[in-house]
Amino acid sequence: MGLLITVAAVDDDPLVLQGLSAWLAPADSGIVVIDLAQSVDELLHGRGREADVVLLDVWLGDDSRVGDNVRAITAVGPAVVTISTQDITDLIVESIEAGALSYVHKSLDPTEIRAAVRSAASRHKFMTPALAFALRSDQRPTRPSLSLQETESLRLYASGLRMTDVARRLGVKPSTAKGYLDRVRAKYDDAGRAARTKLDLRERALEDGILRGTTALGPRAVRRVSG
Amino acid sequence: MNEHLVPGTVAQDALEGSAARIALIFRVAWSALTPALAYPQAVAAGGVGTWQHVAVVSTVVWGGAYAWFLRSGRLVPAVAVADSALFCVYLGFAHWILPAEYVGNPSTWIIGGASVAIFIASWSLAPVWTITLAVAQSAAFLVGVVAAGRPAVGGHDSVVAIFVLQGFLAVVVMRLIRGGARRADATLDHVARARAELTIERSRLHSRRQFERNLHDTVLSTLTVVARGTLRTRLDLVRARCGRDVAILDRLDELPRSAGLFASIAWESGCRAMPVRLTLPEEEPALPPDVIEAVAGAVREALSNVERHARADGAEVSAAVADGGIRIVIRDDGQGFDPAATTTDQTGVRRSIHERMGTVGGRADVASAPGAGTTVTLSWRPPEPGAAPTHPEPHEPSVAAGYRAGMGWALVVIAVVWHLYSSTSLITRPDAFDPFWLELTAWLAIGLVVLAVALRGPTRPLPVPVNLAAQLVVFAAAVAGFAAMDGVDQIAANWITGDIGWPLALLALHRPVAEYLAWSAAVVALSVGVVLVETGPDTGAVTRIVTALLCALVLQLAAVVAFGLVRRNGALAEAGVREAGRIRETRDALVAVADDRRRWQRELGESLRPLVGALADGTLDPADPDVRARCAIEASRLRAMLSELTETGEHSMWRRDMVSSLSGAAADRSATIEARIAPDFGDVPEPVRAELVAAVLAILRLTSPGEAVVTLSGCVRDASATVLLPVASERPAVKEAMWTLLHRVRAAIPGTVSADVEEPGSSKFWVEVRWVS
Repeated sequence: MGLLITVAAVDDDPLVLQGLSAWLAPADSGIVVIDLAQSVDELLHGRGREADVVLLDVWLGDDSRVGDNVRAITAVGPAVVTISTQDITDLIVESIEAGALSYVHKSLDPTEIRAAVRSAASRHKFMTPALAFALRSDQRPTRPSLSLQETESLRLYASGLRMTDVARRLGVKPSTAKGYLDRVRAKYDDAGRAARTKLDLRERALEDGILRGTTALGPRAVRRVSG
Repeated sequence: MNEHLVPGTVAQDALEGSAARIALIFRVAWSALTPALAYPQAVAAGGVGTWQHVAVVSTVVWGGAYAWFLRSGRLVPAVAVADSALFCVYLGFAHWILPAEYVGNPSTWIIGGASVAIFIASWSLAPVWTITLAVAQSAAFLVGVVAAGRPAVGGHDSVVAIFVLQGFLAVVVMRLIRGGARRADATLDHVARARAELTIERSRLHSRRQFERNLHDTVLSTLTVVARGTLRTRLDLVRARCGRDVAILDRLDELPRSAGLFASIAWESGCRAMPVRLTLPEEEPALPPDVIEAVAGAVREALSNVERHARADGAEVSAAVADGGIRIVIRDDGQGFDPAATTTDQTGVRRSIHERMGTVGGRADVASAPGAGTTVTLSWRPPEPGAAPTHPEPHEPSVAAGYRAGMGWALVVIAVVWHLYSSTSLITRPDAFDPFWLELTAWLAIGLVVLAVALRGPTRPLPVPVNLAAQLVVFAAAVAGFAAMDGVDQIAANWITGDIGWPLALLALHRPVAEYLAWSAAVVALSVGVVLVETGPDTGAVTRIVTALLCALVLQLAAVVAFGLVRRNGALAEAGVREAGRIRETRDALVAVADDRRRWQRELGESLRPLVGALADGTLDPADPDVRARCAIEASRLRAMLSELTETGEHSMWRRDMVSSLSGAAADRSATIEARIAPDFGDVPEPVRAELVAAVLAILRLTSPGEAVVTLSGCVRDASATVLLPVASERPAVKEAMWTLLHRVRAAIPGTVSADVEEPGSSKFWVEVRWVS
């Protein structure tokens, strides 16, 4: 095992953060948890901004959007893997399009989450059944269109089959089956990139003063407090 | 800031506004026309006298004054009386104002102006006053006739009758329109009530959803973490956390549909992050369930407002019972606000509190000032016996039919009365017509059309060709009537112009208003054309016939305007009833959803409370593997249910029932479940869907403890169900049982069904059933 992978976690529930380190990163795992934060702001102002990978809850209770959170974290360096106790298609897809490398369901077994963290540390995407199901269930009008083979491989992978079994059922080589899933991810990356580009354009336009005063379009509306 | 849901007057207010505008247009237009009508008549008769100048100028000035009096856009009754009084004066002094031979003639500007006065007076005055003014005008007319040295009886009685008749017609039409506006308002009230009820239902569902979000953040999170076993060294944390979670689960049950008001208030107060001090009387008054629901909802809104905006350290809720009713005060010592400068946020809250109280006949008062905190007072008392408002449900077709029937029968009556009145021209001067039989035939033809429409029922639209034919018959009768006149420049000619407008209006009842206007224009053109043909371009004759037409058409024009208003009210009411129906449907759907959620939330509470309670009081050890396994199972159940709710929203009770039975089946076998149900699985035809779910349930019964993954997806044409299940022992027997089951499923579902079993690894089975139509 080479260098240790440094991980930070963001979850609004302090109980979840308690003992996360012992569960996820025992001494021999090659992973070390360096920071725990209850909000993205807290993370970005602490050691967490130097982590290799940030585990981010998709549904923080502070009215922030997961897409904004992913972008805010990746902008300062760490790779992002999103996690949740509850699979919410829209939020998962939003985080993936914003640049998260994987989505992992908060299960009992940390094996999958460790695998996702290791992939993310080397900037590789990682497909999980929960993510496959979310991509298959995406019903937004803007979703990328998928081929029959791609949809079918997503369905089989989401149902819990291993990649070799998926390949056999589709009558293709395992590498081909994995290729289908990679292509799906690539399509979502493109869709996300288009969205990110649009966002960048808008921000540049704002800087140039073209779109002055359209605060309603801002990523996070400032909530007015009044009596 | 006092508001109370009182019966609305939108349509009636709109009617007042249009009435003022119409009155203004009629009066000012007639005043402006007066010089054009008066001077040619006077010049043709031999010269204009001083008093004629005075009368014409004063009419024009009065038109201006009338406009000034109505500048606020509202009718002024006193001005209407003054208007009629002025024309009474003109009628009484007609021998000074009109050329001698025109006194007593119905075709003068004074008679037309007096008709306008009666018509516009009927808008702003009680019927008895309108009739009184009409009678006064008749009397003034007779005074004028006698003063000019003519006999009061013989020759002029018909004009007297016209005034009175006009008065009655104006009253009838006005009553009809006002009744229509009242009914439209009643309908709009109904819509407003339905909308308010919908708001309440929405927010009730919203708080349920809020609660589900809370469950995710509390119980689900706790169970997941306990199941992981990461908190073995922090038992204190687990106990504290579970203690709080039990309090939350307890609230699931405290929220039955009709808990007492005080229980509901206590519940709402307990949900807050800030301390809420309660002062509630011992005895709770007996309140209707909808009142309890509304008041508790208003308390919730008020408290959440304190939490969100007041920056207060806490709030105080006190209740007092009085006269069988209830008075609740919610007070905070926060920053307060200026009620005069309301923001959108506050408007929203105001509406939600006021609407809630308003729907059950209660009221809400909000008192606040910057720096002085806010006090919300909610009060409700039982309605007086007998004064209980009844809200009959308007029924769309009956509302529309009501409007049409009212206007239809009024037009029938007017047409018949006017037609009979016209017959006096024929009876008294048969020698003026040649041949008389043609004139009589024309009169009978018009009468028959009216009679036929009346017998058929004026509310039933005639087929378009028949309607057109009837209109042509009426028009042809008018042409024939004119043709049979021995010279048209006489009083007798008036019967046609005055008479045929009403049958045409009756026939236009179910047709576009523009069509009626076109027919009226045709009648005017016909009359003027006849005069021109008969007498050549004689200015005097044309002026006289135009004056006569204008006098005759004033009331018909008024009827058209009235007709438009009645139609508008009818359309308004129809649209309102339709909207109320739609709102009610939405509300019913929401009620069903909320009821359903209430039911499963209670079930959830029942199954989770023993576990979380035992963890809270230390009876169960979170480090015990069995306890952790139980937590894992309950967490997976709760997660499956919450996911289902978050993902598919409101209208998928069958899906939730399905998830509930799937997770129950897994829990019975001590397995956790991961249910992945594609959004499009709902498109799969019902029988196929039911068979697939039944198969999955049966397969789940074969699972060993561990994690089972169920995936359901499909569309209208194909569907698939897969189960990945842990099977640790007796694998050959389980496999055989599975195949038996799959054969049965294959036989039960129509279409192409394939089934397969995989063995990914030594401790799992993967089963798939696919259907293609």
